[in-house]
Amino acid sequence: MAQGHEVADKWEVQLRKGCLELAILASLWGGRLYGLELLRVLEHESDLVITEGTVYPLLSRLRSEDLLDAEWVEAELGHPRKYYRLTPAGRRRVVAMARTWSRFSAKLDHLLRAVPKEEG
Amino acid sequence: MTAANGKIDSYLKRVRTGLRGLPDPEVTEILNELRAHMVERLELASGSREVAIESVLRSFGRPEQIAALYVAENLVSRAESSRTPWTILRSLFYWSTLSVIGFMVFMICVVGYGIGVCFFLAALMKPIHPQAVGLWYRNDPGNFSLHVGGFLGPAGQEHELLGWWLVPVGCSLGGGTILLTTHFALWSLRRLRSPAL
Repeated sequence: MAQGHEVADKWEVQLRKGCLELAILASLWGGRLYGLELLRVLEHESDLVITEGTVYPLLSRLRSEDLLDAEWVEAELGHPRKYYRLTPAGRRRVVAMARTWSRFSAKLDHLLRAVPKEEG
Repeated sequence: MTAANGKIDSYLKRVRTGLRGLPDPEVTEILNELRAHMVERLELASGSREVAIESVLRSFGRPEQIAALYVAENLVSRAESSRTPWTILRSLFYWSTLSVIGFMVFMICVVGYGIGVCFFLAALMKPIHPQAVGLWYRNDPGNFSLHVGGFLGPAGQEHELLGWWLVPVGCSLGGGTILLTTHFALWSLRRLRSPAL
């Protein structure tokens, strides 16, 4: 039984990792965000909690793939912040990913209607 | 704030150590961004500074892990942008200095590319030394042998197996082996860059 839970946990971790790129790109749809803001949005809007430092290498990759732009902005109080925003290619990518996600999750929801939510 | 700054400095120093090999401007930008995040988190925290800085650093993860993710991103993007065996081997060599898995992947790819190059060389040398380069076999009773010849040519009663077909077969096998090795190298590098949840 414990092994079953372990497998389910691993599956959930992989699922969340797989969704992270979509969640980050979708978080930036409404406008630019800096790292800390982005983490808050991910936590509150998508229940994705990641180790804080590891979001930056991922942002760096999305930037190197030309999906994101970044710029340093002086804050009114205190230190500068590095803001990220979607590029046109990033907007196209997130639309395509959202379409795929909607189609896939709708089909899966349909399949899961027969499965009880609690073990009986 | 000074003690907290000292802890941030020491954390970022460990990140910097893990980022060796990356261009200096890139390293500076990475460290500035991490520092800005930590300082803001610290300013937002209530209660004791000591407790707050420990909490901030804990939620950031191990500095070596963050540095490794940046390095992985850099290796993958360099390897994917050129896709040449030389660039891929250089990225893998760097990875091999960081971990045992990196070393194993590097060795597998060295062997893979080596075999690919040998196939190509055989195909290339066949028109130049047709008698000396080829695939020979001997099928005496109880003594079957097969070998790819170098410059000495066949030994004794051996028969050549492919003849001029060695040229297209060598090119195809060489290209295929190099392509497969490249795919394996990129697949291995991509697996490096999974973020921690």
